[in-house]
Amino acid sequence: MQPASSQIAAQTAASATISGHLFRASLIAKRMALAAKNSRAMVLRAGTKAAGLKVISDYFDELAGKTIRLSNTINQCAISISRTSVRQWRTQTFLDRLANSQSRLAPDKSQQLNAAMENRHLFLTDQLHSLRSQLAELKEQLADIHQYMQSSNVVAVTFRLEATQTGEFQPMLENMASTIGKQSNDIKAHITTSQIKLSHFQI
Amino acid sequence: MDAHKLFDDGHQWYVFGRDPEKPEKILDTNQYMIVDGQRSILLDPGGIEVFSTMLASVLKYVNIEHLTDLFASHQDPDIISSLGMWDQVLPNSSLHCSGIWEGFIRHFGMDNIQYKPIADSGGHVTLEKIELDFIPAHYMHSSGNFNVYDPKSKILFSGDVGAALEPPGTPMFVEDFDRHVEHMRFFHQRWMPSNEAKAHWIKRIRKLDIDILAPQHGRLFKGKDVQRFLDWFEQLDVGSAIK
Repeated sequence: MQPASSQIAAQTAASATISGHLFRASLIAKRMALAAKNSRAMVLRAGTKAAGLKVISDYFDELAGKTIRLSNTINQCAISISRTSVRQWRTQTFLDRLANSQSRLAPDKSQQLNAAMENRHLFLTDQLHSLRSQLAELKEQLADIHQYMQSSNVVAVTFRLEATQTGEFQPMLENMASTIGKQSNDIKAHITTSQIKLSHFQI
Repeated sequence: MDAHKLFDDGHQWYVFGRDPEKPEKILDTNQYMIVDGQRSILLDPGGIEVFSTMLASVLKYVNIEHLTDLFASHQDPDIISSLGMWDQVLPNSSLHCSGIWEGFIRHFGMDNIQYKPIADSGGHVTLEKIELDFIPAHYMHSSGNFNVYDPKSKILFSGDVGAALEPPGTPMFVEDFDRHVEHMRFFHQRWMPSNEAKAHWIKRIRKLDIDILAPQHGRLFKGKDVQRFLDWFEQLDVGSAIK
């Protein structure tokens, strides 16, 4: 069954909103990558006292890089969904108006519109299949990024604990751990909002 | 939506308008259709809000496969914002409009219809037998603007020139020109930007043999009212917003 125009309109708005959230998440991920690089520099300066932190800061850096790449891919996916939704919306609007025209015509006249109706229904079904596959992909990618951020939070706690061993570097490294932890949470909030929006798609 | 046959001698002219079902705040528009055997052209097919009614109305007179051409006098939404809908129901048709508007008009949605740009100097389209002239009417009011003249029926589709803002349900033809002037004055003073363009258009139009002057809004002019309109318009000072 095809969704109603109003439902498609809501989906279009939701996918655009998701795209916005993911863009903001990617900006935070960029800041997170910078924080990870700073923490690595600090760890190097701390020398043997912070040897255990090197692996962790490398991990942060890698995670931030992965997050940036994934959020860019996800953003493209959300934009594609938005485009598909707009095409669906326009076609559904057309079909609603065509049905309205048909209802005003005598059967022998209205049957002229059957071919256009059928053609556009096929197009809509095709768009619906595309949308389903794009949504499944988006859902999976959002789950991945959510998982990254959960790991990042856990590792930030470990980082903070390890930082207590670094003497005069402790306050700065703790501060970095807090920054990275907060950034992970901020990204997670954008991802959670996107996942909630996504759950409203009823197709 | 009311439909009136304006001409029927080998080919037919129809005007559609006075739609009682259109949303209240939408300006009433006149849409025209010229049927020439198995080819037909819609002149200023209208906005998206009148699409359903228009489609149902025109199919009472032609088969859908005979709707082959669309014409847009200019780019305004009341003229052609239904394009994205026509594009899906008439995928093999052509749209004739000023070349300068192509990139703009495509924003209404046009994946299938072929855009046939009209040069600034004007052009023609031949349907099955008749040839229609695209008469330049630039800056009247749009910067890329055309009228359609049919030398056989002597009907000039004048777009926004001759338009009047009147309450819904008014008759199709001007009955008392002097009273009708009051419905046209503000529209022409405010929407038409240039006295020079107006004089240029009047000079060009006076050379045509016109029985009916058919605007996109309001009543149509017939017989002597056509000349009365040209005389009245000639002395009107336009471009009022900057005076």
